[in-house]
Amino acid sequence: MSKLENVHWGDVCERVDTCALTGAAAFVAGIPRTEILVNGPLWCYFYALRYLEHGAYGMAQRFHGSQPDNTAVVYGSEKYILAALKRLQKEGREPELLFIESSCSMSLIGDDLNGIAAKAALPCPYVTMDCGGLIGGFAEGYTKAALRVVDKCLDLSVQVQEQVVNILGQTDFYLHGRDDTEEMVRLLQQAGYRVQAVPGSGSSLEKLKHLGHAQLNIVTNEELGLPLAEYLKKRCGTPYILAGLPYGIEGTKSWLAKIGEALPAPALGAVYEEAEFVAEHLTSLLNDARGLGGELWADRLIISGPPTQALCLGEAVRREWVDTSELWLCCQRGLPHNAPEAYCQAADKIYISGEKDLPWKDIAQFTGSLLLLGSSSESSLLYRQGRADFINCNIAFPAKDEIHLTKQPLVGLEGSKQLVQKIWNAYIKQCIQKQGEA
Amino acid sequence: MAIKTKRFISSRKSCSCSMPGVWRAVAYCQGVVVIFHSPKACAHVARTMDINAHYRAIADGSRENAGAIPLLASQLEEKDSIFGGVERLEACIAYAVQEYKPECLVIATSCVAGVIGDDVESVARRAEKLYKLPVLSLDCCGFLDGEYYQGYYGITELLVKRFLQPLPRTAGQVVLLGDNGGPWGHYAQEVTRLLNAMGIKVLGQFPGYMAFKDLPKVATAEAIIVLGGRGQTHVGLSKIAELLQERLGIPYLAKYPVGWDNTQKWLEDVGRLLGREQAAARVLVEERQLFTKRLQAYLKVTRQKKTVLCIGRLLQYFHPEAVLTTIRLLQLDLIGVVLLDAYDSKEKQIMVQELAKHPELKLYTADEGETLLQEAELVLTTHELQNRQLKQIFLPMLPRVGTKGELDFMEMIYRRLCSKIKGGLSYV
Repeated sequence: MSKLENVHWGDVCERVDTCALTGAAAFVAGIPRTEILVNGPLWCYFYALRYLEHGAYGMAQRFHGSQPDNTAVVYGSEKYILAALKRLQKEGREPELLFIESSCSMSLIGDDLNGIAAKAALPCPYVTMDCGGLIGGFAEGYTKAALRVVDKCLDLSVQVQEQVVNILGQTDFYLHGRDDTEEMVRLLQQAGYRVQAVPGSGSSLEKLKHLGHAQLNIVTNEELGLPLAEYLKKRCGTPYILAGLPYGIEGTKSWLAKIGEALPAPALGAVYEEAEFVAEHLTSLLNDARGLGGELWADRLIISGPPTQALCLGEAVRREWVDTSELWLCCQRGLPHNAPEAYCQAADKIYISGEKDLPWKDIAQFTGSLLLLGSSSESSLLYRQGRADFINCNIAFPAKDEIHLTKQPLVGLEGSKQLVQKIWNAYIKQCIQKQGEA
Repeated sequence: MAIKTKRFISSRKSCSCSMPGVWRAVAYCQGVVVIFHSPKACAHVARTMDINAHYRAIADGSRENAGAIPLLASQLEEKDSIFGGVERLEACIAYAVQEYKPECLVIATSCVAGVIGDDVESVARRAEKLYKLPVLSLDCCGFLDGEYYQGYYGITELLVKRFLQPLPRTAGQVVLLGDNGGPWGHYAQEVTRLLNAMGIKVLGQFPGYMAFKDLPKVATAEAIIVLGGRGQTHVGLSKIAELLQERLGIPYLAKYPVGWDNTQKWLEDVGRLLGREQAAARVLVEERQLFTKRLQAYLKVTRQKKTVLCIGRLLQYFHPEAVLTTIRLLQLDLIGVVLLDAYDSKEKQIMVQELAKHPELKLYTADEGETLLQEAELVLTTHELQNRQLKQIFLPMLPRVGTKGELDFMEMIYRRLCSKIKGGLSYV
């Protein structure tokens, strides 16, 4: 049993993740005009679809399923895949790329996805991949699909261009992921860089083909972007930087400064000027808010989310916006390379889901004031234990207690406004609720 | 142009997975721990269902009064497909026993473990001896040898056979059998309301919502009230009720109080089963008064409104009778019934035969239906339609039951007809 000594079991009902099937589809779905075919049971397909629909409403029209029955594990899934492909062709669908992925059980039976796809004589390019929960969760699926897709389309003959960067590690299927991408692109452009591509978050296949133009690859969410950064370093010689995410005003400035160390920015002053303006604006409004609503204080601040996000956000929230006795961070998975302290030194405790889980019972019994920046998974754990008097803001999926219709970046200067607004509004709402209960 | 549904489903079998069924059968049964012998991600799907159920209950105005029991996964990985995952499962069981000190362990097996060929049953028997506690396992193997309901009924049957023994029964107490969102869901809430009105107390909801130590109390019930449904739900729960009757001598009622007609019959049946005919008659009068009063208010808006019914669900899961009754009661003008492109020819024929019992209905294909929909002021549909201009009401797999359920449905139709907003989908 020795090789299993380091396995961390624990209650899955205290954690959040998806299947790699979802993560892989998320990367591809972040590329416009692509479609995905899942070769796996309806159940696995449907749960992946429901997750993806939170990030992009029209997913059902781009995300298809072969929907084999149980006999497929004996006789193979070829007839189901061919039938699904025939249906897509009949509907006249001609995506720029079709991504065909098998679920875990379908991967195990050894069907030759490439051979089957070749038989279908598809009118579009395709990439195939064995996937599913056996290879891991969202991040494993995302990174594996990223490598497959980029490997298929990368043009190695392109020349490096001055001041061009790529952003690696973004997804539209983290909460407000696309909005974050757009804010980072805006900031980088304002600082004088040219952003070639953001794979998995809005860039076309044509843009991905020319990833080699970049002088520098900026890795944001390390758990998603690092493998592709390493691959591009190997194939194109592009250096990369593990920059994390730019939360907060000071955090945004530090983020740009860090990038600037690797590739100096021609127009950093413009961003700093905007940062100064936003800082002044927020300070003034928050002074007013304090006059009315009092000090925003949490005896304990808990942040739970995807790892890079939770860590970078923790650093910004504590240093810029919320005073607390203790900051507890929970990364929904481990980081592949950096130690957590590389992104956050302001935390009192750092938990990694599946290795050392947050002690939810203790948290529910904690008598002090609580601010939770997490998802509906964490808030439901507290509600179920009879604790409802905490300030709650969603920063990750699932987010079942609110809807998201407008652009709301959480990163950068626009994100600073959004986050401060979110946290303060939740605090004021909580004050009113307490008043009603009294 | 043919009507297009938002999502395409072609599967007729293997549509779901047995593991979440196993989980739901004991999900709030304090004292039990569930292990999925599967990749970690399969357990995350169950967790997603759990979060959804929690927030649905909150939105319904109910509040869960119990947290879910621990759910662990043996976390199968790619390498286990070569060497097998038994060792992993054993390690996970050891952890579960040490960490949670359960009174009972339940193991669900995934399709991956099924393909690999792990002998989970042997592992369970060894663990039972080693740790001296009951270990239930079910070799449904994800979607390979069964679906959601095979998992759910399989574990329920094991619970009955292993832990329930005949006991003296108490008059005026019943046990609800089935899930449907648990004690805080609309089904159990409405049935409990009607039973309480007849002076009958609900002892608990079996299987998933009674603590492990309380399971023997099921045997003290005067009767079992099945929270039934259609298709597999009805067949499976009836079998379990039959098993309880056979082993414990407890009679049961397995009728489905969906729609106003069925609700009235259900009240009379409960009265007969428990020898409370008078109480049932009194409650029936009260419910009729309530129902008639509300119906009159709705009719002012619903009468003669052009309505289309779109059906794409198999007859075993969707019986049109209850909806047709609602349409008749609200005096809606049903201008046509559209059969969506979700059937094969045999299934379509079965639904057409059922609808033929109402010769006045005009049937349309999906191709013909789009024009018809342009005229509709309201669309009642089993599948979300892509056309966003339509006022759609989604007909759920598990419709709300009882007087309240029917009135909730009517209220939704009333509100949608009052609405000046052109399109959109509403759920009941």
